[in-house]
Amino acid sequence: MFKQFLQYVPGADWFMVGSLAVFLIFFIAVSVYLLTANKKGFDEMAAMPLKPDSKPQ
Amino acid sequence: MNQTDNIEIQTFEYDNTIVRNFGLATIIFGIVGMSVGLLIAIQLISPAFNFGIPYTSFGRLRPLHTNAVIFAFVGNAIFMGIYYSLQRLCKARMFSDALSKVHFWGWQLIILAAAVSLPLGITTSKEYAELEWPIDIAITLIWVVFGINMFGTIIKRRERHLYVAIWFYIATFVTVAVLHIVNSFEMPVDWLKSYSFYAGVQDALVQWWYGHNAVAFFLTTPFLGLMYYFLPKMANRPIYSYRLSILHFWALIFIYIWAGPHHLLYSTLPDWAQSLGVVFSIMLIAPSWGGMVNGLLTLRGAWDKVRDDDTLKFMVVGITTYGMATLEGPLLSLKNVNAIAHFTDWIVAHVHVGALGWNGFLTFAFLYYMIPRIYRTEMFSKKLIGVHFWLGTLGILFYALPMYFSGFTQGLMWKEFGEEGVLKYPNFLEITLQIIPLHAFRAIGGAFYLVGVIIMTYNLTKTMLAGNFLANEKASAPGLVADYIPTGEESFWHRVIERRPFQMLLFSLVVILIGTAAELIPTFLINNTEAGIEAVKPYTALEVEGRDLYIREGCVGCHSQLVRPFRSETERYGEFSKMGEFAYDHPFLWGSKRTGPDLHRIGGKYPDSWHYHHMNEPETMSPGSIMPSYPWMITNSVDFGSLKQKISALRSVGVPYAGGYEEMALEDAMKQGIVIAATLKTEGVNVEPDKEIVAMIAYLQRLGTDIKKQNPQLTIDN
Repeated sequence: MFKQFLQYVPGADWFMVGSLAVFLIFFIAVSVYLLTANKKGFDEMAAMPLKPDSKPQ
Repeated sequence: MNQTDNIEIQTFEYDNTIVRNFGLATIIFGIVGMSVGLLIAIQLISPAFNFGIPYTSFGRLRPLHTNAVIFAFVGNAIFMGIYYSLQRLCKARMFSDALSKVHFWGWQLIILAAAVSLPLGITTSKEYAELEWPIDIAITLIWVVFGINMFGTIIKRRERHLYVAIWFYIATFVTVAVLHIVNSFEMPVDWLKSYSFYAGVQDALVQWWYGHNAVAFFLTTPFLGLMYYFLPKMANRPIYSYRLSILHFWALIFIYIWAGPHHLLYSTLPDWAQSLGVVFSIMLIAPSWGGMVNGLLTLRGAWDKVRDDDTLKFMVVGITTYGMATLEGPLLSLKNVNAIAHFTDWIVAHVHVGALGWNGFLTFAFLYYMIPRIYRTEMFSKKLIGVHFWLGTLGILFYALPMYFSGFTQGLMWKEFGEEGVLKYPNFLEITLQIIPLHAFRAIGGAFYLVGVIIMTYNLTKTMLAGNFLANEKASAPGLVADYIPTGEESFWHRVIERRPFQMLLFSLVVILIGTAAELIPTFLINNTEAGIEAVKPYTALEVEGRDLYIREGCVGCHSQLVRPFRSETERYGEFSKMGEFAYDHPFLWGSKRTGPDLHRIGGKYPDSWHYHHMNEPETMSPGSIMPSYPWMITNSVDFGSLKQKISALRSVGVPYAGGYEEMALEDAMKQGIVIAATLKTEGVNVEPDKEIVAMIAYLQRLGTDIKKQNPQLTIDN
């Protein structure tokens, strides 16, 4: 499929493949971080909007 | 010992005044912008509803509508939501009350300037960037004020980490700044007129890199940030997956910036750029749906609340329409779908599903959430919120469905060939007349939606009158440890940038600049004239004036100037458009909608008198036409006062006028005007050579004709 993509999509040369590769590397780096990071930290972050906004007036 | 132990609890106050002010502006400009939208929707059924006044004609009001709803209604809603949520997520008052006021009043003055200048025909003609250069500079300055105020608040925060909503705000700030500045490079002629720095295909790419990402970073990312704050608050539960929010944030801002070229498929943009736009548009489904899924799944186990709470209903429908629009957008970017959908009402439907559903409904939900809280009361009527919700939902359906039918009708009828092998509907007007009933339904949908907003305004006003406004809301939070030293996982690179706003800004900037550079730089290396069309010459002085009138009247809102390489288009219009033909077009005028036919090959197709009568009273030449009349062009004289400066400005952006042409430009314009007036006289029309209609005819008759000089055997006579 990849070969056909390169063959038939106009402009699908090293430039487009390079662009996709940059994204893929970036995406994998963020994914690795997300999969290996501690869940507790994410839970704390997710709870931030739920903290009380203000003191009773 | 935890590093936050023994930190004293600090008390401070949230500034609710700035939230209320932006909220009021949101409501007022929502009604104004949507009312103008309804008026121009009615004009597409009966053009007489422009009341014969230049300032209320469709071409001038359409940009007023888009600017009002995008930058006044949605813009004020963004600032309202950010000022409310940022203070609470940072546990800090805004950095500077003075900057908040400058931001608010500065933004309203910009809106006022737009409301005055656009009906006067003062426009650059570039979609969603129509405002002239002094207003562009004002936007830049006010945006910087907003940025300083936002970053100042983040710096003095009492929360160590930046919640994901704030990342979206930062990405919005930096990207909108880059988009606005790059797309606004223009050469001033005077205080009210400028020419785009870019020409032709390069101008088109920059414009749609801007236009598409204005949707991305003005209508999408700030609202995603606001969704991540307000939805957990309303549902009283955390976001479904914080991991997913991080992943979709980075993926979204990385991919979005590449997708602009899908607005230019089958144009003269190089194939590689078109394909790049398509591929990244399809990839965009994943992060977009990541946001939608994360939003909807936040309500897991809380759907009973949705049943009882109309504010949450607005959120659910808003997020769902976001999902629909962000699936449809990539599908529309597929070349085979785009071939049918582009230039039709299908795109109008697509845009309005996103705008009315995602931006509108979320804004209403934010207002219903915030106003009673800052006024320390309950909503005046929960029943009226329900009435608003159902009117709004019906409004979207009544708007979108007829527009889809209209789009399919246009796209298919434009392309249909009969058994004889010729176009089945060669008369463009015949197709337009088919869709007028659908336009009527669209206007009804718009009216439903507007009535809903008016009901909301009544409900919110009664709520505000019944409550006590809390201008300064007391709050408390522990301060931050000044010499905090991250350990373990806290020292990981991503955790570090989560705590540091400037690193976050820098990282976001790099991410969006990758796609920007990859698309714009190679396109700028193309020589616009390399297509070898030596016959393409700069416009004459009179044609320049005619082109400026075309821009002033907003003709580009209904007429494209781009014949795509389809047999259905070359049969209808003539030879397909070439890159080199637009080498001197500052700005490009390809358009994005064909309410009327394409005009790129209109030159020489009709006699001068046809254009005269058609502009004066379109129905005399095209019975049933919904094009407005332009009688003022018959009586108004061309203002040649800045012609010299225009020629100089165009030369300075690369148009090769001969040295000293500006000195003889007026004489040249008058000579050409006299020739056209003489031709008109032979055709039974008496008109002075300095009238606007003469300049307009000069421009229209020039359009698309240069290529015939290059290749005389080409005939453009259909």
